[in-house]
Amino acid sequence: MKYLSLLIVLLFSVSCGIQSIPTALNQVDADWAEVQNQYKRRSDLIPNLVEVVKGYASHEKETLTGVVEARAKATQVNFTADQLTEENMKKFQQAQGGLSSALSRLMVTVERYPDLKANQNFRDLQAQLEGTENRITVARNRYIDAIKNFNNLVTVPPTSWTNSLFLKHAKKPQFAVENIEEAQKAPAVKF
Amino acid sequence: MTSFLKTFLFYVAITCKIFALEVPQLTGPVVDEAQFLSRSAHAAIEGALRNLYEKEGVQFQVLIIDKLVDESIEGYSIKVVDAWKLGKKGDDRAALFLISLEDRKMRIEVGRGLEGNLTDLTTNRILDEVKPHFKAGDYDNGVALGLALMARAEGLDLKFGDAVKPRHQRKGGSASMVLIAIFGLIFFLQFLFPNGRGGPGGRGGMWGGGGFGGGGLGGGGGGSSWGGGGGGFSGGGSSGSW
Repeated sequence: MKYLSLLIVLLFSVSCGIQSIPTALNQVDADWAEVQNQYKRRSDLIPNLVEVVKGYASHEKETLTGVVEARAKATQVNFTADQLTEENMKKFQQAQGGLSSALSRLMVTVERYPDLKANQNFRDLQAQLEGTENRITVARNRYIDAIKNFNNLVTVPPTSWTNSLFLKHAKKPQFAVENIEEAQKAPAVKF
Repeated sequence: MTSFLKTFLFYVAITCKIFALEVPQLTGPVVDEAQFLSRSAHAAIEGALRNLYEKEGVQFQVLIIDKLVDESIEGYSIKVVDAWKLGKKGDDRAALFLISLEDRKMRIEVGRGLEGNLTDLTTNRILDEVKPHFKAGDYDNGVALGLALMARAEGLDLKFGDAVKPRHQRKGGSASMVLIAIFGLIFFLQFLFPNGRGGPGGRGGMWGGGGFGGGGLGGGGGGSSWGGGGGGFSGGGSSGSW
């Protein structure tokens, strides 16, 4: 009997989540930090972008203010990985999505200013912004994978038994990409 | 019954993978699926990249594909570097120069260790410089120029020998020297990697007449195999088209 219980404990500790669940949790933390890092990178680019655009298109005030305000809002919404409840995740995505759509409105406006589009400074900023958007996509995909992995560990047996007995982690909310895609959709250009 | 189910699921798993474009096998510093580069340039660039990796630990990789399948070049590019894991783990000094021939798209994907100097902006400018070469159909020099500029951004010098001359057009005068260098290089590479790149027609295979000794080029390191070392990428770099 004693032998049997020892075997069970051993089984649990080796293969049933006692290691893999915390590891997965750390991965989630790290990947979330990277998501935030890349979003921050984007918001750091925006003041320069606004300055350059202002020089050429000063009477597009509304669009520019829209970007500045959306940026301010987005930088305020920050959560650590363990604060990410369903609701906070929604808040974060709304704030960043708001900034994305404000930015794409700005980029549509810019199409009307050939001088601005030819400006080297602006082109540089555009290249950096494109690069950052790609980094955000990569970071987001990795976070999604990390969450999926973690959720699998805490919900799918046998690791879920370990979780419900010892660790008691809740499932984490997934990053809902479709909302973001919608928010990022450029407004239709009307003639 | 269960074994039947298992085989069925196995087949499903396999077939699901076929739809998106597969990541090709990492056979060397230049993986040219589209036969984009000339033989001489292919060899010269491979030699230069191997040399760079051995001496500086910076791994540049060229991948040329026919076309993308239902995927953006950014998406495919990150898939490739995730599969190949270029660069050494923790050091992450690697970059991928990806070219999709039919789409006329290209991308430089930068590993974490190189992001400091090879920024999104720098890579964007490099692609701008490569663009006119590709437009003119001068692929060899375009690729070489791109790689040379990438190396320069890191403060390194990439030497291709005389086979490809980035920036300057080839000059007629030294043609025989160029030929000798090419023959020498090919012979040398073949000597080092007897089974390497045994693709259709055996790249460089028919060139192997032993007349030109590889001796003059003997300085290179031992025949280390080419592969990824667990380097990390996080989407840095830039894309362009021509």
